[in-house]
Amino acid sequence: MASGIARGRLTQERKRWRKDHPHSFFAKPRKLEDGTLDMLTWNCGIPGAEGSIWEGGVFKLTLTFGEDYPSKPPVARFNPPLFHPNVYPSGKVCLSILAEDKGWSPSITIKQILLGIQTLLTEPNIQDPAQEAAWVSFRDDKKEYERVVRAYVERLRATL
Amino acid sequence: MLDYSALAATLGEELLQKIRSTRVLMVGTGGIGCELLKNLVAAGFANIECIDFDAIDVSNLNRQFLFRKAHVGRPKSEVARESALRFNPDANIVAHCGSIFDAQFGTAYFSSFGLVFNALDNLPARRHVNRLCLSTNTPLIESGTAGYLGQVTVIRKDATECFECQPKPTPKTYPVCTIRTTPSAPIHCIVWAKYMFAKVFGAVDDDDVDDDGSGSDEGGEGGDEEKVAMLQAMAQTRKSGAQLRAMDAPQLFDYLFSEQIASLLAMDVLWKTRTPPQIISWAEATGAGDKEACEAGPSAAGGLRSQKVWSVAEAAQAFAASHAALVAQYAAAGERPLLSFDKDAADCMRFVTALANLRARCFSIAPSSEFDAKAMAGNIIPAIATTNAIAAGLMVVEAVKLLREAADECRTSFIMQYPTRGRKARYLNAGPVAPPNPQCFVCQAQFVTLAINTVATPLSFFVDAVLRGHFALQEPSIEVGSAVVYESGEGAEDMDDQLPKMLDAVRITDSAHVSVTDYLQDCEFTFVIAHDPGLAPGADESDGRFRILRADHAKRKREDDQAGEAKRAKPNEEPTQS
Ligand SMILES: [Zn+2]
Repeated sequence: MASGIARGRLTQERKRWRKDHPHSFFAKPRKLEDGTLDMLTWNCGIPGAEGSIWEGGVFKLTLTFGEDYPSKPPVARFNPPLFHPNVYPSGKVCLSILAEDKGWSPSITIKQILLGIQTLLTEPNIQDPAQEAAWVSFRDDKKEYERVVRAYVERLRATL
Repeated sequence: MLDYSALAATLGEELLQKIRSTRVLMVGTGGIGCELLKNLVAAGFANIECIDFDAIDVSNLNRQFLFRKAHVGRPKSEVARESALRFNPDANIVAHCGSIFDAQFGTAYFSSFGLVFNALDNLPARRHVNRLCLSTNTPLIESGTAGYLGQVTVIRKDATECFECQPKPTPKTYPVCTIRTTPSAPIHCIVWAKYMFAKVFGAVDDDDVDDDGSGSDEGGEGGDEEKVAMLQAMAQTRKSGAQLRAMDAPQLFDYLFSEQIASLLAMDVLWKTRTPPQIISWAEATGAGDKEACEAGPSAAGGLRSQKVWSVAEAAQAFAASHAALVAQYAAAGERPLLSFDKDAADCMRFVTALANLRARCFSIAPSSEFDAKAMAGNIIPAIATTNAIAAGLMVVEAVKLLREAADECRTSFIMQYPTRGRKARYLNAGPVAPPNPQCFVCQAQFVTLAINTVATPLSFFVDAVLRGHFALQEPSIEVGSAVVYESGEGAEDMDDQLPKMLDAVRITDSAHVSVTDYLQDCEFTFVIAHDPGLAPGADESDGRFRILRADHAKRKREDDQAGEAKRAKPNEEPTQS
């Protein structure tokens, strides 16, 4: 059972999100087998920013909260993993605001996290490589990098 | 035009400025509301918003003086605004024609007001406003009248009693399904009979029938299937007043007690757990072939003593005789031939008693004597303009106290039907405003211990009868530990597939802590569940299926603990400076 603090905060986050959230994003607790929703795991979707190479896709990721949230940040993981310099092969997102020893603060909301990740998609951080293929491609051959991303978004749209 | 100099002389310049600048909200522009809006404008209030979902009806005109005949059919709030602006064209009045339960009137909206006035006539809306005021810490001036009786009080969070600190008697309305399809008590038959009278001979007045069907009688029992069947039954058996008036007594009798009952009987789902009704035909009731004797009616007035319970034949005779008399009266009434129900008019009362008794026989309910029927049928509380006017005046008096920061002078006022005894006879009595009830789950307690049968009660019952019914929540979300068991309202996941499950299948088990939040009302509390296998799932009364064992004030408990610790610490330790 989640600690009272984590539960209370997640209830508040759910409430905020239901009242107001950015267009085309979604975020909701995962449905369990007994039909209840698990507040500790949220299924989310981030749309690619307009005008960017990511435009047109909605990228699914899960946010996993621990008992120690919001003292510690949640883990964000793209599922399936993305071709992006700051996304680990496992799908895990490498972003300063999600790092306990860097930019995380307990006051950061789920909305801010998702908007932060949307920005990261179009503005990769070259200092923090998480996967080799995308990082090398982004650094050495932007054209090829963009082509791969666009092709991926196309494929994603075709499956919708 | 408003004479501000006179107001300034009475109130003082400073207070008048405060009155003019404070944004106030009034909920309801009916009986009390019309008086209140006029008073507010006349007292200098100049930033007013009012909400009412209702339209003006002819029957409002005798006491809601901001409305005239030409306004019938228009929204109450808008016309009230127009009329009040004539008292003071400078006032800024915003009128909303809508429901107070609408999400746009949420906590953000309530926070924008310095004062809220309740001029409402129904409990659910008053409870809802109470909660919004508590959660936004906005002072609420609450009012209510019933006939000659009235009450005005002030509600301030943690300083006074809130509207829900003391249990309120349940209002005398009945769910429309109970009245029209599944009556189970004599009063249900009386209400139906009055309704039929109004339909045939008068202006239909649905006041006694709760048309939203949300009454608690239904409990969580019977699912959607049953609701749908009831609604179908109601729709099928509807005929207009004119159609009913065109029938003669035997035709009307057969329509009401054969045809209608037959179409109800066809809805099998209604009679799975209830006794099915029985058809009574005119021929059967009056004894076939003996028609002439019947049409003569229950002849001698002395022959029917008011205390006697009629047989079916006697009821049929009384029906025919009173029907004939009413038809004649209706025809004689001329241009606007609407008869209104009057328990003291013999034909009227006889007609209603006969209808009620015949219906009672159909549904195997004990029939009532004319005397008893009269007591039940006559129990209508009239709305009295003077009482409303006094209440509305007192509301402004209390508002002015709050604005001059003299909240401790606020009073609860009672308007009485009979003067108090003693040297000074008073029709108006005021007393101190009561402090909060520590057991009140709305304004004080956060932990409620609830006894319920967790293995035999579906979640739907918990949501509908307990949360929406007993606790008057609008959009409950339910969590147990880190699991959301159910949520509703804007942006919620569709979790209706959870509703038929038993509580223990959705984690609501013995000693579980169940957190319930209402986003709309911005209130939250925790149920501690006590599984009670003795609470039968089949019990008719919804109240029989759960019990509130206790309510605790968590915050206060913590404070007590701290105080206890401080006390224990003191004798042993050196006094410490803080
Ligand atoms: Zn209270």
